[in-house]
Amino acid sequence: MSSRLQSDFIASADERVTTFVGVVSPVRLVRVNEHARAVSAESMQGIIDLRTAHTPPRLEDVCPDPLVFAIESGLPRIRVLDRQIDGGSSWRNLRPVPIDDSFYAVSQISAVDERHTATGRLMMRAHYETRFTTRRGELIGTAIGYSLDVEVAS
Amino acid sequence: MTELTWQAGQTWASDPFRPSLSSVVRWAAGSDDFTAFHFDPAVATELGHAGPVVHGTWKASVLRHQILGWLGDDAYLTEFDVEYRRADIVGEELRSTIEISGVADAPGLGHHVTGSAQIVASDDSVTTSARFVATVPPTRSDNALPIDELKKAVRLGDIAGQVTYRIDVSDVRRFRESLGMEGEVNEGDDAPPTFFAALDPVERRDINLDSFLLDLPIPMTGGGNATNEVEYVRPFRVGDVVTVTTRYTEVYEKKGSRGTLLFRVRVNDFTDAQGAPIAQSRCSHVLSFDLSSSPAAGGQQR
Repeated sequence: MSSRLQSDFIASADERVTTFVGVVSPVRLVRVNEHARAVSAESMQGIIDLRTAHTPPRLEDVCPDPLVFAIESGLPRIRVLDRQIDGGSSWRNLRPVPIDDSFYAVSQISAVDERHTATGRLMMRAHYETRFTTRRGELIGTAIGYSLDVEVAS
Repeated sequence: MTELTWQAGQTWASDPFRPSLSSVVRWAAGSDDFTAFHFDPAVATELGHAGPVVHGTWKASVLRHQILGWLGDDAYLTEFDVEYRRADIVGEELRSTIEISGVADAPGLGHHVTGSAQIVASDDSVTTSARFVATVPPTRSDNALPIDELKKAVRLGDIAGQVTYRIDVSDVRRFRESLGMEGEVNEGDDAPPTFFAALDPVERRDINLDSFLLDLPIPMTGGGNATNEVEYVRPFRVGDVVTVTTRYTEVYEKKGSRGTLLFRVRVNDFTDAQGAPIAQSRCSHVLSFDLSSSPAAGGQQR
């Protein structure tokens, strides 16, 4: 994330959200879905070089929306303030994604931090982190979806 | 290897583009995000938007593919962070820019290229910003083994890595079972003499510095463990916390009956929790390559 946001957020001590930190989803077995990958690539036709859609898949191809991915795994969407919006995503690829084999995904609410906006409104950011490992337990990488929960100006 | 052409300060800019309703519907299907305000005008309007809102992750994907399209076919992202600063409405004109902030040598992998990318609306406001680290592999020769690159990648002569393992009862029990040995295993028991192999960080992929050899444009004809030697001060025992320090001591090639053989020799020093030596092993691994059939040599790739 940008250095501006990194320095502005602090770990939340709000009991309404701290109870969620550490919640883990059931383990899921996933694999590269070439059809979904192709449909996603079609959505960008005319905008990108479609050859890049045929390179070896990375976690961004398996998990294009880390927040949705983690919620679908069974994690609760934190809703304590007025409005929830997608706050961004991060991916870390440490080794190639298995192409012809399935692999494991475990999602967790790994942290909740907060800051106040320039107008004084409270904003909480929940980190929905998914770790992907091979069937041998080797770490493929991680994907994080950030869910922002914000106060709306009255 | 061809010289890298990237340097800090280089920039790229896209032509203007407009995400269509068709784009967001396809993206919803591909990413499994069917949140209605991305494609239903009535729902979007009710939430205060001027129209359906483009998925943030679609914009992230556009930037990602544009970065890779610019850096080249073999480049891949190892880190990618994106934040969505403002909603973009379907049909509105956008454009994107990319800037390289740094280039660093990555032995065995090529080069790491770091930079930033953003999507800008027609009013010049940044709606999406991203930071990335990409690896750009080198263009390698297909008629010679990259000996110098390999020596650098494995840090020849220096410590390649250090990993600590605890030897549990289950570890030794499973190892003994694989050897057909019977009997109970308890804390403090000696492990079999060949157990040193189970603590090799290279075999366990905890140290993995030369995997690029598997992707060389040279046909590989075989390979495997070549030699193993071990010298013990005392046996490994259940309950030991062992630190393994790995050094590559030799990298060389020689002609063999199945092609050109590439040897990597490594030494593992095993010490206990107090730093006292337990054992030292010396292992070599060999890969064989058929240089005679590479295109540059007049042959054909298999």
